Amino acid sequence: MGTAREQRREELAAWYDEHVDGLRRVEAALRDHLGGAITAAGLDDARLETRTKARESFLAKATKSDGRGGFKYADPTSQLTDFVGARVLVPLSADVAPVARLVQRLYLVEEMSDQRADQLLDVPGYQSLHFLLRFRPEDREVLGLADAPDVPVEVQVRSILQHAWAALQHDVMYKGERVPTDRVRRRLIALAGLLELADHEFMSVRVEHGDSAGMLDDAHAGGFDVAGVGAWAEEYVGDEAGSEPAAWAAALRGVLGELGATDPGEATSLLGAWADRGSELALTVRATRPWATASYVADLALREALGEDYLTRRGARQDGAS
Amino acid sequence: MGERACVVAGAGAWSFYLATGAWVGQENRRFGGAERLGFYSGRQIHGALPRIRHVVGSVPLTPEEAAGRTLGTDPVQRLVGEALAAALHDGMASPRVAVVLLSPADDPDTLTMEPLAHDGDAAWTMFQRVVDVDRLRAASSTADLGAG
Repeated sequence: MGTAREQRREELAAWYDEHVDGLRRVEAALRDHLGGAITAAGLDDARLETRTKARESFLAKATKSDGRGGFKYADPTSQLTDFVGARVLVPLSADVAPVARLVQRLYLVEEMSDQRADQLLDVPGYQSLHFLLRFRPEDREVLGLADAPDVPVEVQVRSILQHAWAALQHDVMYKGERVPTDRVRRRLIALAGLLELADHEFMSVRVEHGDSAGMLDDAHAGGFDVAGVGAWAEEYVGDEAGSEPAAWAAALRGVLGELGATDPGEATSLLGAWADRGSELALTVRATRPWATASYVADLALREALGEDYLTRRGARQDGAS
Repeated sequence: MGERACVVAGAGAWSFYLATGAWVGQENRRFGGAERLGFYSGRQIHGALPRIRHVVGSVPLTPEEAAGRTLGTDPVQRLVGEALAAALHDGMASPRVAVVLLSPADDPDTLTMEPLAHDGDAAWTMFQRVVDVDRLRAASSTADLGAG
């Protein structure tokens, strides 16, 4: 294995040296393209960091053992997806959504994983939104990447506090020689909960300060804001204007964003044949669920209208979902 | 050993179950290892013993939590969110609650029986009692259940 690893390492090192300039061009294009879009969208508080995978980091990962005498990656040059990466740091967790919507509009998204949803919802811990994406062909031309490697790009979007916790816990969990004790793990989980509460408290402070536009509002980035979504849902079911609870409108706004609707017209077109049946549906649903808000009814209509596509477009796993 | 049901007391729990297929109450509530829930109110044990399908021990009872879970993509969390929304609508006001998802009343997984009347001077239970399901279904009143 030792000789095989050395030989593989040499071959991969040569491959890396040959391609690294192209990878750096992809990184530079990503920095300019995404950075420019963030600025143009007025998301001034978002901070973009990019990097090209370092030679040693690539070689270490590419020669990882599979534990059975072989290598974890049969062809790391095509299997690894993190040659070029970007991280967008935003002030609070509520600010993740506007950036995510921007990313979804700009690039071809091959995968999107909400790390919050992949873990126990009851336990505080790692939170981040991860994208695996590629430039659109027309953008590759414009950005001068026609002859650069067509590698996927990893983009993480997370809040400052989420990032602080992830960085600090990573140092404790993975960089030391000692295996963390249960007590250390427990304290890290408690810290994640503390920071999550701090994040919520900062959002409350924003709202109390009158900065409602900063909370879940990316109208300036092309989406429609919480109030706009609430008004759209109210109109759909025929509810009184201003009656929709903000929490429900905010949740529906997340749904519409994942489905690709960035304005009322797009949201309505998603409803298809259900677009004119909001009042009727609300009446039926509220007979057994009197708590059903306009947003809830609109979400039900979207599920009916889009069928299986509803979950697919939201990036949900299909197994067991209904 | 057969199945056991934890019969919980509470004026609104039975109607809440019928409406939502769930029980929402004190956070981190334990049910004595029972596989099923029963409901005692109005001096009777009601006639359904739903199966406990999913327990969330502690969750904030807030509109944000209800909305976020209900409009999510996970079908189980969606039911949890709906139960929270119903609890909020009913005026429940605890900061945190436990949510127990149960087999619905019309589900084949829910055992049915004749309601058991209670004629004693004091309530049959003020909190909860765990009883063998077979004994519950064979009884004609709470007097047949003994001291539990």
